[in-house]
Amino acid sequence: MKRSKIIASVVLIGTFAIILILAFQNMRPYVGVNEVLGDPTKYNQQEIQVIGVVRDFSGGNFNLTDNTAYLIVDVTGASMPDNFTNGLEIVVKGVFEGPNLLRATLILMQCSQNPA
Amino acid sequence: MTGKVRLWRIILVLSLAILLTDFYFIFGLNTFEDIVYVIFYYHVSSAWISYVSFSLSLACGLAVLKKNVAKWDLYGKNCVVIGVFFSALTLLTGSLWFNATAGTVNGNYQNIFWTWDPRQTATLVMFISYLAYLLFRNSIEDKEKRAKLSALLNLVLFSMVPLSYLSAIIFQSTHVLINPAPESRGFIYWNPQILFTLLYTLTGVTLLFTYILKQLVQLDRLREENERLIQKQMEEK
Repeated sequence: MKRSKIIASVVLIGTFAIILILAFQNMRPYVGVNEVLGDPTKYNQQEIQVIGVVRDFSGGNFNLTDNTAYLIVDVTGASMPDNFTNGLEIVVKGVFEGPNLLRATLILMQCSQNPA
Repeated sequence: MTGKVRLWRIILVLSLAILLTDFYFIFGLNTFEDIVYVIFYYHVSSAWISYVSFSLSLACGLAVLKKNVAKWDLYGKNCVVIGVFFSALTLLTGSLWFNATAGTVNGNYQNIFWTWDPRQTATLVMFISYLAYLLFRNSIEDKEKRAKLSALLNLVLFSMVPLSYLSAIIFQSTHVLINPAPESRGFIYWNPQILFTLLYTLTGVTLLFTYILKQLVQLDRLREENERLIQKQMEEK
């Protein structure tokens, strides 16, 4: 193999390795309600994506629960999705403000909502 | 027409017939509220083909390392070519599905296609890794060395395949899981019609995959033969 080709291969693999590392660093697993409340200082003032079920919704703020604990979701900074209702499994992206307040910036239905 | 050629033509016709009639099952039998759920069948099928392709390429790589047979290298490489194409299709259809099912605001989609969900990220990493594999292959001229080094790289890269699949289980993810329990996270309603349509689509796509793989390998063999003849002619001159 020519020397230039070896250098090109090393550069190529290095570039892809950097892309892979950046991709994994950017990966954002969703956190559960219990996980947030279990370590509120870790998440305080952090932007997080929390997965949970809607409870006590009547048009404004609601509770996001995993059936053992709940977060109060402040929806003033987010648009409410259509057909939003209690019992839906959703993802709330927002800033966590302890002890149990999540200021939502985005509310997403879970992509597995039953299509039929 | 030889028996082999006839067999491959039958496979092609069968796969195209399945994929064309598939639309009848998708549109005719299902009672989806939104046409966007058509994406679901092609998303799952693309992911299936990419996993199968990469798994087969690993098997071919092992055969190259163990038996040193060149034909397995061609199969392995073309499995990766197909796998990369279908991974890209998986990412594309997945992003469209995500946007379509993430909910609407005042009747409009929220235009959110990417959230760095673990499954999305792991599949992107898998796609980039195998793309790098193809570029790496092209940089080696010696046929035997290329086959062996590619097979070794394939062994390392294959870890991305189970990682992509398991990422939605290991990490918190919104990705649908194949789980029949109605109360589970990621539940999708697997009624017999949905299941049948999905399996029907998978059969068609898998048959098409075998046909494309065979044709790509054939094309590579012809290319190699052509190069050999050119080399021979140049030597004679």
